[in-house]
Amino acid sequence: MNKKSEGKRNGFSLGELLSGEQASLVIALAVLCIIATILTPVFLTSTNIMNVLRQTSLIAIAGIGMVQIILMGEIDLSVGSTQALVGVFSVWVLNATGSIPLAFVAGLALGALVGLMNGLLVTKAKINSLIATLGTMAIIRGVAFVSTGAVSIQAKIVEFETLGTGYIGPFPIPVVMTLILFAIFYYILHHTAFGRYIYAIGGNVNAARLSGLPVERLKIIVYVMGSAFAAISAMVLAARMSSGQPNAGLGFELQVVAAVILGGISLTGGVGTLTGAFIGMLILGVLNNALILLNVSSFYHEIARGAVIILAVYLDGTRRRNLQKKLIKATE
Amino acid sequence: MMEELTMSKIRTIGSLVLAGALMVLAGTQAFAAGGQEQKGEKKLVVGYVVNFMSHEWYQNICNGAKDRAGELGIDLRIADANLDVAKQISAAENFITQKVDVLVLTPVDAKAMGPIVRQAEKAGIPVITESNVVEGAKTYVGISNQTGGRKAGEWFVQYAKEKGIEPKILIVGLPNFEDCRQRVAGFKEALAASGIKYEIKQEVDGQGLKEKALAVSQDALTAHPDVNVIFGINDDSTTGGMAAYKAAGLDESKLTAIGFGFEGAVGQGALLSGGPYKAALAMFPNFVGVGIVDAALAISKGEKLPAHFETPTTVITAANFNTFYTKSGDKNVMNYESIRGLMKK
Repeated sequence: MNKKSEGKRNGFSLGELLSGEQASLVIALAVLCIIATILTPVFLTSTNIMNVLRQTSLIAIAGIGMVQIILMGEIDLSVGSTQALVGVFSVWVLNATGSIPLAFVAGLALGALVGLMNGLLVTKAKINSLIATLGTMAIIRGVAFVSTGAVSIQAKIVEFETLGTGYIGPFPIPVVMTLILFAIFYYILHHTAFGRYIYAIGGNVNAARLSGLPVERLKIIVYVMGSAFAAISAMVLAARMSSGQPNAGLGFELQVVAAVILGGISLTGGVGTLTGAFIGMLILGVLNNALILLNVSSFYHEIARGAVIILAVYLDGTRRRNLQKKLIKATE
Repeated sequence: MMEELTMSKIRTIGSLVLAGALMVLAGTQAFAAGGQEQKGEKKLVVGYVVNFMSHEWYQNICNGAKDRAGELGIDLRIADANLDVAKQISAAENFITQKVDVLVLTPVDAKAMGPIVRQAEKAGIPVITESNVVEGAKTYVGISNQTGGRKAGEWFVQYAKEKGIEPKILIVGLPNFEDCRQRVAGFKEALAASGIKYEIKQEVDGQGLKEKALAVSQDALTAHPDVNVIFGINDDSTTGGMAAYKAAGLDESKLTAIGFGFEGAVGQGALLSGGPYKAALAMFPNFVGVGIVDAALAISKGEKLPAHFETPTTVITAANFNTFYTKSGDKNVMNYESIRGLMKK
């Protein structure tokens, strides 16, 4: 089992094949932006672009975690509920201690705990990750409601808002956070052994296990990271609302998954890049923004979002079948 | 292999441009409607983010606002938050980007509006809220819930005296909402001031929904089958209580039900059917919509508005129904002039 050749299979030859897919994504994004600008010129203003980036960053931050989980061949549907619970919890800690850093750390810790729970359910209890995270999604949402009595908690410290509404130079803070996290995890996923392990597990979990990879431990680590990312996103959202909302993030998990799949991450695992996922998220972000700018009734938003989700899964299936054909041809 | 690559490329681009085409279709519809500001005089632009346009109540508010905006030549843009705070904030941000003249909000959660109100202030855009007080907003448009509850109570006291009823009251409330607590408080205020003998048998939480109201009222009526008055904080609560009363096999002719809100088919149907629903405190949502536009216009002119821009309420019974509503086909159309007559300004 030459790890180097495995890496080559997952990194380079696939990379070549996939760069074609990424080009088409970038083109699609450009086309959308052009159409939007023609229909409503205010789309291309710097204020609006910053808005789009800031609004997309909520999905993007959680998306970085989701990409790794799906690359591994698993899924996490609890990220939406985590938005609610971590948001509520961190605001509660903020009000109780008066310290923003402490609230942030507390929220992160809770996120990591949720991730640990998910990871253990999937690895030790051996529950299918779709079912397991569907269950934790409901439980976490329930805890958020029970602990608050379904009433939101207002943040008593105004400075907390800056996490969501502040700027560093011309860039909104959430956008800066997204770019930094993206850069870090781009490196980890595509230039470290850890990243290759994730692809390996997603590509063929039995082969990975036989190669000696600590599959269970890696899965738990990735789940913990995934929920930690969802927690960061949750706190940015809470900052934007200067309150913890127990019904935040409803349907959020579907948006993240759809964006990530649109960007080329296959649901079965082992295929896709972080950059592609990002472009997918931008496409959805631009779509959402343009629909509001064009004053389209929100009932249409649901139709548009549903259509994109179906499109994403259809494309995923087509891509997988094409990939299989190519791999079979490559080994002949 | 090269052909396959190109095929999937084409398919990918094609499918994603389809998504864009969806936007074009939707956009041309919206564009045609809203793209007239370039022509001629500068119209006043009002951006209104509703919290829940799927509900008849808010649809009425929007209709009233649109009618009024049309009358006054104001460009009214409405976005729906669909009970999602994040969506409400995004929509408000987008209105701010579009540099609307006035921003109106029906908050999904009043506590979450702080940041967006501050953002609007920084951009020089005044904020008006509907039905909820939010710090930093110039005024709040809506009824006075306490006054409304009291009017309903006063009407009922009069009715009880005339009919010689000794009230044993079931209140179907919604204790989580400040508005609804005030309605009940106003009702009780009128009862206490009246001097008549009455007893509040129980207060239940119907969550403002008919099925929940039905369920909790059934339990309350099991415990207190001698209840002869039901007061609900909205029409669904009242009719839910009424349904529970009927299901318990009690004599409906002995029941007096008073509704609150009277926003649509539920209330009107119940009132005109000649059953136990005798009266309701009408909140005239269409007129709240009118109020929003009027307040926005006033603010844009630099007028100072009171902290609470109160919209009118009145008790409607089968007797005075025709003063305020005229039958048009099988719909009941609101009579704006009569309602305006109620406003003391």
